[in-house]
Formats: sequence, structure tokens, C-alpha cells
Amino acid sequence: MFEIKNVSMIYDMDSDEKMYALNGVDLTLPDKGMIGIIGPSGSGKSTLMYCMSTLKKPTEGTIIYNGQDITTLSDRQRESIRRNEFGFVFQKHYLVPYMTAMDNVVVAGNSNDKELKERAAEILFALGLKERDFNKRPSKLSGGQCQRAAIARAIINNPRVIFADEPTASLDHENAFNVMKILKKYSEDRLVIVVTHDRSILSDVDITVEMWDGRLSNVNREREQDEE
Amino acid sequence: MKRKLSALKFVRNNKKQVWVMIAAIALTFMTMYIIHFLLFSTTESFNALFLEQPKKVAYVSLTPEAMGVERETYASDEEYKLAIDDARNKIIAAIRMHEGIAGATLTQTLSATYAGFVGQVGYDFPLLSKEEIPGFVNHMEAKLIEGRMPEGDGEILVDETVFKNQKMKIGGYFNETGFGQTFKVVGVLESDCMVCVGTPMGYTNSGWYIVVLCDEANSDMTRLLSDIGIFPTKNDTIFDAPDWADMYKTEVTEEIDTVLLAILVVVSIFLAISILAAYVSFMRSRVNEYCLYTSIGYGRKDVYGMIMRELFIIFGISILIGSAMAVIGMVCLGTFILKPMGLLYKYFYPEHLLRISAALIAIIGLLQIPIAVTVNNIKTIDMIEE
Repeated sequence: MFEIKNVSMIYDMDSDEKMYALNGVDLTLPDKGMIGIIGPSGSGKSTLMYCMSTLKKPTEGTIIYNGQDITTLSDRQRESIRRNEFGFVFQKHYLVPYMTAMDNVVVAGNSNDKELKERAAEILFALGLKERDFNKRPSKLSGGQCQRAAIARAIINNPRVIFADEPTASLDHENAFNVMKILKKYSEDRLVIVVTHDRSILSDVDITVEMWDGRLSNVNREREQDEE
Repeated sequence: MKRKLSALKFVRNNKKQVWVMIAAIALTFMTMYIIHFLLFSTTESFNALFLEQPKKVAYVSLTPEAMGVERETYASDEEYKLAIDDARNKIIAAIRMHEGIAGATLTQTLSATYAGFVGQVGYDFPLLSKEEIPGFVNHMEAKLIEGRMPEGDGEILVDETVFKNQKMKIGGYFNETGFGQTFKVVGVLESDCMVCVGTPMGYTNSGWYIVVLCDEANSDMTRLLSDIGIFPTKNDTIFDAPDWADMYKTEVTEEIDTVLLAILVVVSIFLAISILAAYVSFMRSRVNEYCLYTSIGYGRKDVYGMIMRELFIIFGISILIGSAMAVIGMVCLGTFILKPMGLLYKYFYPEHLLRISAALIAIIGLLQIPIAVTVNNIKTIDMIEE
């Protein structure tokens, strides 16, 4: 699904000492499965994910998604691809504070309100939220419930790819495990890319991409090959 | 299918913030309209006096020179005075013969006072013989609604609006401060032009005028006098329709309009500053929300559209509530303050509504600056997290 060729992201382009957030990254990812990108802070893992998700434009290289180079798309095309093909789970939940859990999920949807509400209810229920929580605002939900609502928002449009940046960072161990279980299930027929520095949550991933100083230090495809 | 970002969610779920803003706009709208309503009750009330009455009656006082009487031609004062009387009588006779004139007579006049919501005006009315009064009342299309017609000297009929306005009572003295216990109010007239009339009581030093009962087409006395060969100058006193209309324009409508415009500008500036401050604070508190929208695939245009729709909903609700409050306020003020003061008023002023709308549109225009700055500065969540 993704073919990343020689992608670099350089900050301070004009200064003498260029700062490489990504440095000549090459990577190919399949259509489905769970990908874990791991590395210490500043290794470039989040930058790589944001480049793949069109939120950032790499300085050099190409990112082919479904046969299309997404680094050359216009802003509108990138918005459209994020809207229709991708789902996002961020480190913080970024739920809109004045909206209910249900509305926070529906806000990302692409179809009509009635359909969206039905689907949002199904997803929230499947993610373990009780019906009485659907109409609660984020301030009345626990951290785990908020992150589940954020995951529901990410999958409301049934996206082909979910990008999850440190999705368990603000959760306790039990909630972190549950969130990863949900993402794993979604990855059975879609692609889920999880960025983390916590190796313990990546026990179930199909491909592990390790990063160091803007480069890929190791790509472990053992589980992917096993499953195939 | 691309959905729009809902503007109603913010309005529904942030009642405190939104209602504070709605209340501010609605109260300002109501205040601006009610101030206009109160000040324009003066214009409305003076309208009957300044524009309607002069279509039916005019007052002319000519200098001997205008009547063609030169002092040097006469040996004595007595002869000179007789010549003036003679000339005046000839002019009165000629005026009576003019088309559209129902009558002309030399009479003493008395001055009535009528107070508006702001300011007051004094105007003359004739003191006629009791036999002439029914004809005058008839010509002015007035109707006796209370009391009786004058039967003796020093009896006055007063228009009902002036009657209420000056808190008079039948049997009471007319302008006791000015004339002492000379003139008595004996009846109340209903008319559309504040008609007052009475019988004289000796010489009151209130002035003598040729009172001309005219129709609207012949209410310009300068033109009428020129038709009969008299050409008044600045030294002659003429109170006729063009003169009153000019006074109405310069001393009533234009002055009130200037005051209203100043109030509108000042209130709009304060409203604009407070709304601007409130809105900037609203938008600052929602930066993460806007960033989320652009991160998950909405464009800046979508966010701008949502902000504008929210703004229009807030302004729309404010105007509806402000209008309802203004109507209730006007009915109460009209019933309990203006009517007892004998003032006339109306509720609907389209030109002022247009002005208020223009002020609100200007405020929305001004809000485009912080909105545009906010929308342009929207980042995606990756940038926030960095």
C-alpha cells in the first residue's frame, strides 16, 4: 500500500548545519496488518508517520500510496485523502470539549447524520463504551473512554489506514492493552500504523520498524511472513 | 459525501458563552432602536404641528413698507396709521379673493407650548370672535370632543394632544404662568394638526397677524402675496407651510438625526470592541478544535464557514430577541410614558433598522480580521505535538 522511497525531512534548510528529521528512508508496507514504528524521542518515527499521512510534506523523496505519489498532491487533495482514506489517533485524544462522545465521533464522518449516528453507536459500543456514556462530554469520561472515543472517530469512515501516534501514552496499562487490542482487530483487514517508544505494547504487531536518528535501523517482518 | 462542520453544536453546547454574546447584541439592538423610538416620538409629534397645520392655516405680518405705505408720505402719525390699516384691509380682501383661500382676518394670536420627548416648541393660534370659531374649527377639520365652544371672552379650545401634554384641565387657566388668570380652557378638540383657538380678552401683546385659512396647494404665502402684488422681504413675518417645513427639517429632524447617528456610532464602537474581545477569546479557546478539523481532513475554508455560520446564528438570534424586546419596550414606553405626555409615535422605522443593520454588518466585517488571522494560523495536530 505504501512505498516510501528515499524520503528525507530536513529542518533549518537554510542553515549550514541541516537537521535531518528523516534521512533517506525506504520502506514498503502492505495493505493490511499492524505496523509498529518504534524509536526514542527525536528518532523521526512521528515525522515519518505524519509524512505518510500527508500532514507533513517531506523535503525529498516520494511516498507512493495506492500507486499515487502523495507528496505532490495539492492541499485540497491531501485534505480529501485524509478525510476519506485515513483515520487518526493522536497522543492526546483531542476530543472537542463541548461535544458529546457521540458528536465527537460523528464530526469526522462522511455520510448523513442518521447513518453516522447509528454507526458511531455501533463502534462506541464495540469499543466498550456504554450507551449512557455516548452523550457525555469528554470531561465526564475517563482517559481510557476518551481514547476509545478518539479511536471510534478515527474509524467512523472505515478508513484504509489508521495512523496512531503514541495512542496509549496517556493511558494506564489495562487501558493501553485494550486500545491495542482494538487496533489489532481493525488491522485484520486494514492497515494500522502505530508509532510508539514503548516496546511493550508492540507484542502483537506484524511488522516492527525501528528508527534511530532519522533512519530505519531495523525492519522486522518475521510475523508478517509467518502469517502469510 | 463531504459534510459541513456543524455550527449549531457550538451554539447549543456553549450556552453560557453564546448567551452572554446574544444578550449583549440583543440589548444593544434594543437600546439603539428604543432610543430612536423615543427621540422620534418628538419628530412624529412635531410633524402634525410643523407639517400638517401649515397646510390649512398661515400667519402673515407685513411691514408698512411691504404694504406700500411710506412714513414720509404722511404728515401725521394718525394719517400714517390709517393708511396702514387701509392697505392691510385691501391686502386681506385680495387674499380672500385668491383661489384656495377659505378666509383671512386680522387677529390677535396666543402662543401654545408643546413639549416633545426632547425639546419643546411654541406656536401661535388665533383669537377669533365666538362667531368665527366654528368656521375655523370646521376648516381645520377638528372636532369638539369634550367641553363646549367659547361663549365669552378669553375662552380657549385646546387640541387633545396639547391638552394632555401641558396637563391642562377644563375650567383651568390657559398658560397661567404667562397670562395669569386671563384665559380659560373650555373645550378639547380632536384634530390631526394640534389645533387651538380661542376668543380674545383685551390686548395680550401676543402679536397681531393676518390669519389665512388656506388649502395645501395655496399654503405658500410668499407666492400667494406675490400673486396679489405684494413682495415680502426679510423684515416681514410669515409663518406658512414652506417656512414650517424648513424649520422642521433643520431644527427637528436634522438635529435629532445627528444625535441619533452619534449614539449609533458610539454604541456600535463599544459593541464592536466587546464582541471583538469576546470572539477572540472564544476562538483562542478553540484552537485545538480547529487544528483537529484540519488534521482529519477538513479544509480551512470549512472551518471558516463554520465560524461564519456560528456568527450568523448568534447575530440572527440576537436580532430576533432584540426585536422582541424592542417591541415590548416600545409598547410599554408608548403606553405608560409617551401617550400620557400627549406625544405621537410609531413603532416601525425602516430607515433606522437599515442603519442598525449596517452597523451590525460593519461589526461582522470587523470580526473578519481576527477570524482570518485565526483561520490562517490553524496548524495540524502534528505541529502542536511538536
